[in-house]
Amino acid sequence: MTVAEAHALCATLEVLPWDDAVVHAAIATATARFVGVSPQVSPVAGTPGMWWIGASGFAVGSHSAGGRGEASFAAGLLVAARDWHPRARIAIADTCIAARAATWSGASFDQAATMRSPLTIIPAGGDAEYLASAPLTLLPMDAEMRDALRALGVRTVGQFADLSASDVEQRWGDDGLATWRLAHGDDPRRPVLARLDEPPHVEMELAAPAATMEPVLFLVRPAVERLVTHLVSESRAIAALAITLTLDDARGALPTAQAHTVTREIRLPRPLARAAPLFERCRGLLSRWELSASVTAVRLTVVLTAPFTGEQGHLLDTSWRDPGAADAALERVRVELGPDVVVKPMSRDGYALERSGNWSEETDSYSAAASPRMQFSAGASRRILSSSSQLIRAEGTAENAFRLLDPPEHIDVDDPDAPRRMRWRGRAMSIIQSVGPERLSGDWWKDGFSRDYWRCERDDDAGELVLYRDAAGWWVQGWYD
Amino acid sequence: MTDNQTSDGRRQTSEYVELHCHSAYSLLDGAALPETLIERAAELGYSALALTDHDELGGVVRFAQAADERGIRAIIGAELTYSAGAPRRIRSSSSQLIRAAGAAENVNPRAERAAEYHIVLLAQDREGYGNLSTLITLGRSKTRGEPCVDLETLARHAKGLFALTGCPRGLVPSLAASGDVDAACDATATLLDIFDRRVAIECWDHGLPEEHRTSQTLIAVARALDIPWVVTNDVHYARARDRMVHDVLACLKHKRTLDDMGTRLRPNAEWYLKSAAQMKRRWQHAPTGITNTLAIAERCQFRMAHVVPTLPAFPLPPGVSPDEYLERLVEQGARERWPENMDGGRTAEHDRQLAHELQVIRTLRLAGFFLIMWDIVRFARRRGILCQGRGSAANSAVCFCLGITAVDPIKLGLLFERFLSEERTEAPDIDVDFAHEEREHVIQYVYEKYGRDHAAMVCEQITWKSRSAVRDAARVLGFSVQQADRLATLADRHSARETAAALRGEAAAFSAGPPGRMKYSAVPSERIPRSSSPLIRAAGAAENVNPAPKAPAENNLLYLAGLDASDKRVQLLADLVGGLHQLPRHRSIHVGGFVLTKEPLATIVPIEPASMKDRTVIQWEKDDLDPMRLVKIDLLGLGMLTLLQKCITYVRKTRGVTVDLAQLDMADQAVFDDMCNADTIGVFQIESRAQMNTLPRLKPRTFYDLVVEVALIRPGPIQGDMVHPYLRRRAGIEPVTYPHPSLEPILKRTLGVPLFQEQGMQVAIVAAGFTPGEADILRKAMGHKRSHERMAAICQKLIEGMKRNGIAEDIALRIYHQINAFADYGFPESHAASFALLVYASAYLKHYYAPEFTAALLNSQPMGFYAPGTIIEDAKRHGVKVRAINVLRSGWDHSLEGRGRRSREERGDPPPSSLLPPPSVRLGLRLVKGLGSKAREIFEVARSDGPFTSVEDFVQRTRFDRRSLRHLAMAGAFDGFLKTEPDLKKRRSALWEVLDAARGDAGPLAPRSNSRSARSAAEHVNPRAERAAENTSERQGARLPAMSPGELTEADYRMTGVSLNGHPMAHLRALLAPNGVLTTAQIARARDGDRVAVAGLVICRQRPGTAKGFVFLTLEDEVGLVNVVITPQRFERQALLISTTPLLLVRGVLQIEQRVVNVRAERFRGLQAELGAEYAKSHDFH
Repeated sequence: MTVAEAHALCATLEVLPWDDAVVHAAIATATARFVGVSPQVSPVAGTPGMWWIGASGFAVGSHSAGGRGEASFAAGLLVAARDWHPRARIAIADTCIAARAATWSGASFDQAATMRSPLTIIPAGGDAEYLASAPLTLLPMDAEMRDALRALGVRTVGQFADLSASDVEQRWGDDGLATWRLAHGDDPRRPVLARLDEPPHVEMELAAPAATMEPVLFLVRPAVERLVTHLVSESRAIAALAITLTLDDARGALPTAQAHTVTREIRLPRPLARAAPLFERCRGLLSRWELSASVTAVRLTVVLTAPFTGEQGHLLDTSWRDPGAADAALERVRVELGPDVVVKPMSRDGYALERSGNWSEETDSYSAAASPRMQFSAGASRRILSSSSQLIRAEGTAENAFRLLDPPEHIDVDDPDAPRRMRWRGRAMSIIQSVGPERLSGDWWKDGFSRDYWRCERDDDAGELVLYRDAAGWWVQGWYD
Repeated sequence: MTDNQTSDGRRQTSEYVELHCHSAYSLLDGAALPETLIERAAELGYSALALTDHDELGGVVRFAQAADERGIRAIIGAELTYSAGAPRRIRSSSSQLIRAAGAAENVNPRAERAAEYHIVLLAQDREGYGNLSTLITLGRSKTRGEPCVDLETLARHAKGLFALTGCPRGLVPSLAASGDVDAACDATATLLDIFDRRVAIECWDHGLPEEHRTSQTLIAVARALDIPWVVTNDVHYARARDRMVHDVLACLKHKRTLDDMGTRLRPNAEWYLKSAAQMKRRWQHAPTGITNTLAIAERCQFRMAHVVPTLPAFPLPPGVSPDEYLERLVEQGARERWPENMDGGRTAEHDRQLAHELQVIRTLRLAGFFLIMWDIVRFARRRGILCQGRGSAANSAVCFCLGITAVDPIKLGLLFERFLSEERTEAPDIDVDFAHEEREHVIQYVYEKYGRDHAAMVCEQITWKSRSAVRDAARVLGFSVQQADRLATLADRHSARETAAALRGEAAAFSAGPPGRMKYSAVPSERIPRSSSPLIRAAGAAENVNPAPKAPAENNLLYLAGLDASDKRVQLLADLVGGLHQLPRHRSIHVGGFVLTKEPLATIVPIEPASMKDRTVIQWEKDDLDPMRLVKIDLLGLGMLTLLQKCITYVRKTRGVTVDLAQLDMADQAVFDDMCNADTIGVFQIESRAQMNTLPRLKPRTFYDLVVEVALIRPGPIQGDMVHPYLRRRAGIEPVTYPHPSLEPILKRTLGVPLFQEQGMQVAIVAAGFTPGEADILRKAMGHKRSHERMAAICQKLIEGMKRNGIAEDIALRIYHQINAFADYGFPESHAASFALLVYASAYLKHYYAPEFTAALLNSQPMGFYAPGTIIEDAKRHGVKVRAINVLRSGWDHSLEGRGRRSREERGDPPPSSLLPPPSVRLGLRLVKGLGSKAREIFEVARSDGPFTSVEDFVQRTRFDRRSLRHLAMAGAFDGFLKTEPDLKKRRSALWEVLDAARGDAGPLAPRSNSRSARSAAEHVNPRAERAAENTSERQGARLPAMSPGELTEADYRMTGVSLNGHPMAHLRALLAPNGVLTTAQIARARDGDRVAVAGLVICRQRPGTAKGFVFLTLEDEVGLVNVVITPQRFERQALLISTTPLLLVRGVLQIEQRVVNVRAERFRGLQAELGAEYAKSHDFH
């Protein structure tokens, strides 16, 4: 559904952009919860909200898991899953396909939705029998095969499974055969161990609990260097790094309790294998971290690595650019000036000045650094009056960057036909030359506009102003440096 | 300053003439109709206005007509696209100017690469117009949709044309914009050479500084070369607010939404028709450009009236004139038509009538035209193509004698002046129907005989109607296709304007009717010139305005469509839909109109290739032809003639009987019995719901009753409230009266109710003292949508004439109203008579040769009112045996399988045909969905090699794709190969075999040999699974579940749209009957006023424009049909359900009147059943 389509259905709709990072983070959080219950946890690729979780060894009667059977295991999972979604469902089966079907349908495919329990356990060896009554739609297959089976009167997985393998292969080839195997509960997919190897990490305790980040930073630098050295020796670079602080608060005071730790993660735009920029990213993160208690220990964990490729060099060396160094430099800028200062221009094709370009917060740092139009202030640089490219030089460049006032500021102008004198921010200004008007109107299907634009040269040689007049009066919309 | 005389004698002055103006005929780049531009120009006090559409003269006739009415001089021109050699390197600023100032002209990157430019050409004289038309023809003759001429061609046809350098896409402006003044001067000099200094530099100002600067350069160029420069506003719409519609059109051209258009849209709304004062104010610094427009307008003296086309000469024997030759042919024909010494033979009356007609033809110099038509009909007859003249030509005894028409006008007392008179300014209209599948031969014969330079088909400008306007507007605003479709279904009205009103929730919209045919949308009151007379105004108020039902408080349509009315885009939808009203959308080919000229046709109107192969069309529509005195011949395709042709052939083949349509017993009461019982599915003209509702009331018993029946159910008589009075009088419920005693001779045969156009004319002659020619002008004026002034004048004359003859004013008004109502939308009696012949012939064949008729009807599809499923159900009810598709017996077409005839013939003792059992209809493969013409070719070739022996044999020999084979299997086409299988298992077994046979290489488990050893060798791949199925692998076919009867029906409908295995309703009957749902047969036995419930497959949905918003459904169940009537309010409430649900349960009150059964619906419910109903075709809102 397009945004316009959605608005047509609900004019007051609030539209939020899809955020992969948020989704991934949520999946990672949920995965971490499940790992606490079972070591085999695999988020299902392409299906956010579904996990294959290993349940081997939890069979009824087994005491290997502290006396818990499958039911209590599932109940434990359900508690964790409900953090993800209040109506989460758990199913235990021999195969992934049966488990997945059971989360949809409950104990049987005839069960009414209202009767379904959030927990379904299919007895061991019972997958094929369970699946037999499932609708054929459960099985993945192409449309042609689905149509043909439907026409043949094959409506359930069981009916399909009743066909012979050779007949199926004879008619639908390997793909058909693979589907037929699924119908028999022969599913090769299995949950895998969430993380078998301890990720590279460095853990250090502070000599004394620290109330500020200074001592932490002191430890982080050598830790980062160690990690980088270790990974470079394996031709790997760091793609994501987690910093875990152990806090000295009341939650860790009880003898049986575990220490209170807080973890935050740095996801790098591109893998890094140099300590300096990595340290700058860590510094950026830690400098924004407000401590609720003293820190007693710090742990740096490499969450994600990538093959180490490419040469690295100096940020200011114009012969080549080092993305990592640029990222680090920008991170320092963020640390110094605030989180939203690094932005990049986004061009949009349109006549309304304020809508035809905008700044978006820079996340993919290098491309912003590489852009000659990078500015460190709010405002848009764009092709201003697109129809009059000579009047106002087309693209915002380093020479004529346009500073947009958002919102535009009201001014008083003496002559309605062509501005000669104006009063802005309490100051009178003379205009020695003005070019215009350029009539621009549009966006009538949204909040339309209709304006006459002038580009004016001031007497103080302080750049060219862009003024416009609309029904509400005169406005300054920005100026060129 | 120029002045001009307006039609009302007012003297008009103007200080500015717009010389560059686009109408909506600049497709997707103009947002105003020519009439709208003229109307606005008149408001602004223009004395002249140019029309300069892009490579197009399609709008010039209506532009010139509207201008004449408003007293504005119409300057005819076009903005031509030409290529100027190698691409020039033009600096970027120029292309930016083009992009911004002309953004909506949608600069085509390809065009820029090929160095294509625009130039405005204005016709100074007739030669210039001819050259302009020729240039457009040449430009459009190459690549369809990308017109362009080269400079040399332009130079060859420059005479009589005045050139303006054009918009920013012109060569000179683009060079000037790039700052290359020298090159701009060179380019201008080239144009000066080509046009012999008839060139002016064009400047514009739309509030864009770069335009301003370019204009300065252009003025400098003009001064340097000492040529005039002019100002234009490059108009693309009439008023500034029309910019929205122009933006929408630009979006449609780019196939983008408004949000995605960005700077592809024009930067502001300045491209509208501005007043002289506005233009002068804007150009006050350089007024020369304004005054120069007047001088150029003065030079352009060409008017459309200067175009006088002539017909091509018909090749004649030496020394014989066309009149003499025609006379000889007519004489010859008269002897054949009216043999002497026979009952109904030739009399003095015949001679008098022929002499009169020939005299009129001689006076009007139309003998050549009649000879051309005779020649075309002669060609068709020689080729065995069934044809018959229709329309007013059947009023002519000459046409009857020439064999063009089949109705004897003298016998029926038809009025020749309806066809031709000396007062008529336009050529007569001769329409000939040909068997539609053979018509292309006739069309190509005409092209070949007269040459493509002298013959072309007439175009039809497709305009935005209700649904298309809603869909396109919604799409452009960013709505989804589903939302747009849903809204289009709900908002569907006659026209885009009425739909817009409905979207706004305006009450008037609820009186509107269905989609389509705009010409029926005007309610009678709209056709009365309200300003013409207080009498007429009073009449309109008193008689013609149908009070509209009250609108619901909230905007139902938006609410029903699930849209949020507070969203701005939703609010704008109505304005955009209304803005698209009647704008041309694309060009199509007229159903059969041809124009022929003696001079090269391209000098009269541009010709362009049509989308259909081997067809060329002119840029004018049929309504443009009469004003231009272009003779149109209509070579129409009529499915019924194809049907009759096929049916006669089948009857000859199956029964050895030759049916001669000219010798049918026209008084066979058994045939009329069928019609009285409304048993007319498949019968020409009287098979629609409305006709079938009328037949039991009218009870036709003679041929003339059929003429009346055909003419009665038409928008004209319905709007004129003539149907019910006629039926009541015929039933004896109401006495026969006449508006005035003097009208009794004219109206007697239609029981005092005028039904035919000729009667209207005769009433005008008798009651108002009109001459026959004046009466015809009255008819034309009443029906002519573009000429309100003319109509007002003649109507006034009619009423005054009646008053003079002593007819009271109120009666005169009533007579006027009746004539007015059917002036254009009623049939001429001659036309009704021509059609009535076909009605009777088809009814006759259906009655006596039902199997052949059914096969012919099915093989002539698509045609008529009903889908094959309904036709077959009807045939079965008539005892026709219909056999299923079977590749062993079926051909591509449906065929007839006789029993016994061959064997008796072989014995040399053929029995009388009446003793032979009727043949059965074998359904053909053409019914199977997904099989096209290519499949037909393959199938027929494969079949010619001998009968198929097995499914595998069929698969191997045809090599159809898997999908087609699956469809054939599921349609039961392979059942013949599986004789031992139970019927309910055959299709699945066939499909099982098809899937096997159609697969390519075998896999490890299933080698093609399918040998057990190979299989066992492969079983190690998945032993567990194989073990599970071990016992079943040998008998898989048998393990497939049998189909249920419902599944069989579903498969039939899904694959063929018809079922011989039970109607979908038959499967639901057991569920419905206990709930009181009756069959259509039970309904027919119920009593008037009973509350009933009926369910069925919706085979027809109608919302006629004449029915004040009422909706009519036809439901089909396993035993018959029933009609359902829905009030506008009920329909609005459940429009989506009613419009889209295939199986509907309706509860309501039964209405039975004179054996006509209707259910007045109150409640509706969709039936959900997998019985294939969704695959059945319904005839909706046509």
